[in-house]
Amino acid sequence: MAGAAALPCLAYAGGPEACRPPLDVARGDSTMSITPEDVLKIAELARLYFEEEEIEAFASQFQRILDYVEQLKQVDVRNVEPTSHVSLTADYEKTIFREDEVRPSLTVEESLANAPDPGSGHFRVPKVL
Amino acid sequence: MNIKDAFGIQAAVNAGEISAREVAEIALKRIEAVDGRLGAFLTVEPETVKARADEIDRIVKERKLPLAGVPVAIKDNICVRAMRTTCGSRILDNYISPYSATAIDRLERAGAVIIGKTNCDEFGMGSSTENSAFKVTRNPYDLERVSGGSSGGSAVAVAASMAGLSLGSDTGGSVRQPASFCNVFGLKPTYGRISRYGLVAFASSLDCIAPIANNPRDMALVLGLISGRDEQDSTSAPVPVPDYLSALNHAVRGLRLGIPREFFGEGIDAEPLLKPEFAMLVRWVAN
Repeated sequence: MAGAAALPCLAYAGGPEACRPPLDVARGDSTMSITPEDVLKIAELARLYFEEEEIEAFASQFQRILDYVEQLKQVDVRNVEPTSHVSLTADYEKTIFREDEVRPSLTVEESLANAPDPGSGHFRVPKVL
Repeated sequence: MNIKDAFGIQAAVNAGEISAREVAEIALKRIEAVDGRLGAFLTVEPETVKARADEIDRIVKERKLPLAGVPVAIKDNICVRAMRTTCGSRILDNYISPYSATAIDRLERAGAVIIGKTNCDEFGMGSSTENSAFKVTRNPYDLERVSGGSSGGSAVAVAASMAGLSLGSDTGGSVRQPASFCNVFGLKPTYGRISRYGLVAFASSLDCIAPIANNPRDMALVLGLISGRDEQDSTSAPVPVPDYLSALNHAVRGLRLGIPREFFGEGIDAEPLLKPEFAMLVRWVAN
């Protein structure tokens, strides 16, 4: 029964609780184990609602994904230089930076052409504060 | 004039045997005749196309262009200046791109005529081109079947002779799979081979602009023209572009064929790959 009261997203109130990571990543366990509470927490953050039996299923699926990623720990990377991107080469710095010079770019009119409500050279948006 | 032969089209236009304008009109007529049933295109602007073809006809009187007059269809997540770029989404229904992707600039410099923008799963997120906010793109071989996706419109445009070449984008199979479904050639290049500047991002570290063609020669032709380092995309590879067309003359003997072990991994339904037909195909290619 998908009663409204059972909807985690409707019960959601925000606050400091919302800032906490969904899983306690600082827990430090070598293998994390996913509990139904973890699934509920993630569902709440994603504004999703699941039936009771789905939560159990998702918990075990999450667990399988984490176990799969755990395998990476078996790789010995002590002598491997850290790499942040596949396309970085030895002369990376030479290729990704250019002189800081003024170049032709979009005009103000072109930049604003798609704006639903442009005004005096600006994007006008609804007041939010 | 065979629209399924981009190499032949440019040769004929450069030689003055046919005008770019005539080629463009053949493609436009074809779109008019069949695309109502196929749904490959989201935007086609016949007057813009004809004006552009006339411009090519003026230029080829002076010098040859490697893609002279070739009609090229572009997936609607790649920006073409002054045209709509919807990504198959209502969110961008009225978005007019103020600039062109680097791949588009390079195509146009080579003499290509952008014939129109093609349908795709919304923002590239799908594998059947049924998940566009605008319409479903159907397989030209059987209208009851899907075209594949997310670059279904680009695959169908080439398969159904509405364009000589097309560009799609491939993040996790979005060109290889619809090209396969529609019996055309789709190539996912190495990441960084083609600049992503002007491609609407799905997953930036995986996205690739990827061409679709009717034969390997056309593929080699277009790949050589749009590849290479671009200052506008810092992840584009600073690696020289080989002459793909001359590589076509090399023998196939000695090349290695890879079958990813992961095709047979845990959690994958490998049953279709274990059929005798697949083993036969592998043996056939190997011989």
